[in-house]
Amino acid sequence: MLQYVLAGLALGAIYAIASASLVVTFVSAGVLNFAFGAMAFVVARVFYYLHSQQGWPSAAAAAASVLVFAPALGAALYGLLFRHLRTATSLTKIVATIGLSVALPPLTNLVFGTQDIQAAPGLTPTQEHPVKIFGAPVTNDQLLTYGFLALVVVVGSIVLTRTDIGLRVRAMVDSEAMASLSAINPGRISLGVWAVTTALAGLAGILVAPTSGLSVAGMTTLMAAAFAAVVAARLRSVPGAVAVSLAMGVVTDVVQKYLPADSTFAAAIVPSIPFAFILVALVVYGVRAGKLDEGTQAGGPLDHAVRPAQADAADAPALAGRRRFTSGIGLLPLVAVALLPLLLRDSPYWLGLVVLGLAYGVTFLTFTVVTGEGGMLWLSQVVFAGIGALLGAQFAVNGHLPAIAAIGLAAVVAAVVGAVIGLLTIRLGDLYVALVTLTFSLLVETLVFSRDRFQQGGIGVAFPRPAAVADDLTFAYVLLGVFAVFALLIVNLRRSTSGMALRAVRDSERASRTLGLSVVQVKVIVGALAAFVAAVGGGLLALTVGSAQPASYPTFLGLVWLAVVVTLGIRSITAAVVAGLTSTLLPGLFQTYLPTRLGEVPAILFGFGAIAVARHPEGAVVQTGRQLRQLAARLGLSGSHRPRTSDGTPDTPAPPPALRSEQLVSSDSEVAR
Amino acid sequence: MTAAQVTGSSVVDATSPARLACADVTVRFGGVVALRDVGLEVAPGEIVGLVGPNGAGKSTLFGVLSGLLAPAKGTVSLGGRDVTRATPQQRAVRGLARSFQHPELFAGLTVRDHLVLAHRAKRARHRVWSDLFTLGSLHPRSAEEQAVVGELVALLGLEDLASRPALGLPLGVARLVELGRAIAAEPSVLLLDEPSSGLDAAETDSFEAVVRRVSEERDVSVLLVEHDVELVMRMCRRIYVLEFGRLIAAGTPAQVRADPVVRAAYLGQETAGGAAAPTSPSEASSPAEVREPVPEQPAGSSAAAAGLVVDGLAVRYGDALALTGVSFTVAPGEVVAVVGPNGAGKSSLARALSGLVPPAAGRVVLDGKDVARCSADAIRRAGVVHLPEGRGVFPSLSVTENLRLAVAGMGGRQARRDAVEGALDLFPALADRRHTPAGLLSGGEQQMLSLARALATAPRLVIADEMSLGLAPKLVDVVFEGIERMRQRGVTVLMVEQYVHRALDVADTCLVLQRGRLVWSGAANRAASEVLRHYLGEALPAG
Repeated sequence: MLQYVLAGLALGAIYAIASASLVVTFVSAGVLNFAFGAMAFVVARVFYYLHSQQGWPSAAAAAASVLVFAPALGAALYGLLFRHLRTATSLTKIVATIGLSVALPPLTNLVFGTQDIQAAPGLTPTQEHPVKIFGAPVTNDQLLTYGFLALVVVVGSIVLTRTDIGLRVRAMVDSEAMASLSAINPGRISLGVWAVTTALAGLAGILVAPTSGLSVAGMTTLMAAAFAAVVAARLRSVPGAVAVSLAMGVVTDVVQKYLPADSTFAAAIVPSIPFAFILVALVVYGVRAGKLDEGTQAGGPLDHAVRPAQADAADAPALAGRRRFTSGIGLLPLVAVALLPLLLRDSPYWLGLVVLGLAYGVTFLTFTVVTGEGGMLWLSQVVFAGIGALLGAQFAVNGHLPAIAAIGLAAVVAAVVGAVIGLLTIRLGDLYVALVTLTFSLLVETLVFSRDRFQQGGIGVAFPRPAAVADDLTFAYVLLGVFAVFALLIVNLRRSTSGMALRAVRDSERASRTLGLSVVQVKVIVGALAAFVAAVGGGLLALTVGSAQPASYPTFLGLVWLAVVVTLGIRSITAAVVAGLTSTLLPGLFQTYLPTRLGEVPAILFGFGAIAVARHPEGAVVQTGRQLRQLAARLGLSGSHRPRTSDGTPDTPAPPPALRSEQLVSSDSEVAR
Repeated sequence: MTAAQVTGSSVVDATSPARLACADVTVRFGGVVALRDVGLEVAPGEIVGLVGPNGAGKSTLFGVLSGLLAPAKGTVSLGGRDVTRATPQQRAVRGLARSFQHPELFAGLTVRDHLVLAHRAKRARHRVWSDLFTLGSLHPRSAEEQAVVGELVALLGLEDLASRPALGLPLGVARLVELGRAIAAEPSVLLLDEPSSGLDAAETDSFEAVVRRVSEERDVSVLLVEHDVELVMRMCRRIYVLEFGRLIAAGTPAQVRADPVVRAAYLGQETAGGAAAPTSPSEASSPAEVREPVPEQPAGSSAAAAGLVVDGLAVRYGDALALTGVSFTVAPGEVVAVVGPNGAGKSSLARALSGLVPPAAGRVVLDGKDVARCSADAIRRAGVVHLPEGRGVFPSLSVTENLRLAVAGMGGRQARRDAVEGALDLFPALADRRHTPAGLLSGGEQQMLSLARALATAPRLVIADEMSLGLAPKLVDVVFEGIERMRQRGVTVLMVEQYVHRALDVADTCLVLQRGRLVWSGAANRAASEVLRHYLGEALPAG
């Protein structure tokens, strides 16, 4: 028993370091870091490079990667990205850090090569003289892990409570505006916080690598477990997060003692423990408070009073996707997409990519529905796509249904699951919704998708197309037809009373309440609709490739999808299909015309695209249209263009905002968005 | 005069039931009483005004009436039915609509869609979800809806802008749209919260005209909270006056204008009896005495006071122009009182000077150096201390830690320690609670701490924003003694104050702000009548 507890404490200590790092960045820098796993991966990879590939002694390699490289990485990322996120909305923060998590691993692979790392080394030589504590063996790695947690806790609390630096960090947590009135430079404090917490991320990554693998998946699992502790600590309490992390580690290992080894049941229980912790925390908090919000009210009243003026000065764009698109240019990409299969009919390779891209386009509409219109950031859409594919194939093979009916039935199941998730998360703030759906997605991936009924030894279930649409060209137009139907549904949603009410609630909840609007039912329905769309798209993806493989729907891929869609425009229907095609054609171009070494570049580009959302929330498609128009205006084609601000002297009234450049692109056409 | 007497003097015809009424409404925020036993009535078709100095509790009362805030005590009734426990949504159904002090528009919707949505929220609520299944966007808009919305657009004079998204509308238009949205919900009672703040004269006029027409033609009762007392006097048949969360007067515009209690309230004179500030027990027990500074105070006036030149300063919050074309000069060591009605731009001025908000235009010259583009922390290092409105402390840090942060810029560990101890000596009440988190202190103690934070350093210019807001009279004394102490040390002081008389007693010069502009500046001893004129309107009875 003691042996399990000690092993559990070691695991819990790693979680604790990770969750403490997450909480500290959240409370002082205002960002919950979804790129935590990726950052841990990068640092652990650097350690592996120095230690195993360059032969450095482990202490030197650890010091170089954790104490030199990681802080530099954190500082660089602060300069490039995080400092722009301070005043952004929750949604933008999440999407930008997800973009970072998509871009960092391939960037690392580009530098260090892509070989699979089978066994990552620990910090101490393996299994050398295990120490005994009360008769239970403890490895040196475990001892070292305890030591690191103790060090982090002791040093951390001394710095925070006894030093001037710590005092400044705590002042920032209370109120950034007040801190700056006390001669504290908020930027410098944030820079320091990011440097330190990135070092902690790296430390956690290096410590966890020997057990859960030096891979993005392993690090994502670490991050999900840490998120569970962070949620249980209500995002703000470091001691709470550490305590929950330790409890989670102990429970994870002790449970294994009572489970039969090698059973599928045991394999299923262990990864679902973080999810259980999240669920318990949500139920407890939900029952107690009725509502759980991350508090957009961070900081004091003074911070809120000055924020609009600061945001204005920083020329931060307004909330995502408010601009509209003129009909002409908006429809152009759609026409081009419709012609694409015809143009490429003679090249099976490119036609195949287009078909796959169109299937992705259908799938990506799920983000347009749930995030673009519904304003909910769900990170579980890939799981719904998986349900459509895997369940659809089951219905087709075992239930002998026609493929289309099978997908439809699976999509209905997905819609029900989506409605349940919607009901469970309806009272949660944006950040909690993202966390819960991410954990849910990981849970389904490890619990359900891993079953052999779906895996079939890794090859998946064959899911051939019906004979009538076996031909790629025909199937392309079937996909376009499905896309068009969904697109019309979304246009209806957007223009209907429901869509207006959704936007109203997102823009001002107080005003909506005093009008008597409630969108609870609408949000649940939108969640179900999005799950339905995702499942149909997932089923069509499986039909495209001819088999339903669980490996095609990992949670992390869902983040990449989101990055691609957000890059091109989360609120634009056109952008969804462009995103789908880009995600197949761009890698195709790279594979065909560029050296294999650069095969990772598209993923990096998508990640950077999502990061760029921090600056341009509308996405590339809308952004490009706007820039074209601005260019036209500058060339004199449109006389009404004026510079954005005036000097505001008393005698000159400021130009009405109507004449701001971004407004020039406004028009009433909604279909084209 | 007690609150009961005030309500009794109401001129409402006793036979017609009030559209909107509240009685005995009491609201507490922590230990502070924001409203105490407030009652008012709005009769059908009547426009009623609610005025009072800053912090009187007007917006809080609106929150209670519209259901966004739950009162600790008291009842609210709408059309004769008790709605005290009803949600905002339920009150909307029963005919209550409101606007917000800062317009809360739906940035993604067009102007017309605001009206359509409000109309459907009233008339076809089910469409919010049923549209999803019935392809609602393909239904032609009903003739009735088109007529109603069209008429409303015309009434507001927004025909040209009806298809524009609300994002980036100028403030005057935004207020009209918000008004239209409220009217489209076919209310019987309309609550308007500071509708003219930030508007120029022409915009105010057009807003006023629309409200009058709506009230007459659609039989809508209006409760108007407004700092522009002249506008209220023009529009309203009856006016209620709040001060410190209590009703101190009610009656016709002429009665209210002549009421000495009201005049005293606007000038912040302490009046005997019922109109005195509420005193919470914790604050009353706080010792108000302030010891003389220890002679060898390290925080003495070693640094020279700063001179300040402000030239053409403008501040913008989003699309709202909070301050425009403000120019003045402050000599080193001078004490300046900045006064003006709510929303005049006083806090914006304070924030722009200390670098918290970037000015949209203009120069701020501190001792010959333009600091208008400097960050707040850089300006603080130049010796400018801003004591912000509200409680200028870090709530989760202890008293000592708050002071340590304030003196962190001083050289030498011993000097910093002495400065902290010196500040605690000034305020013995704080010294007793040095390890208590500042958030657990009473409001008065927090304000003492804020002052101590300023006095612990050697500031060259102190900007004190509404330090006495919401404090009991004895604690107000502490605040003014603190200001006086700074003055004795030769510190330049710019204070934003609602206690106009007391501020003018301390100050050398006075700046009067109104609607974001500097409308008067001059010697403090000549300012009192100017202030009254700008607060209560020109037509003052003699005396």
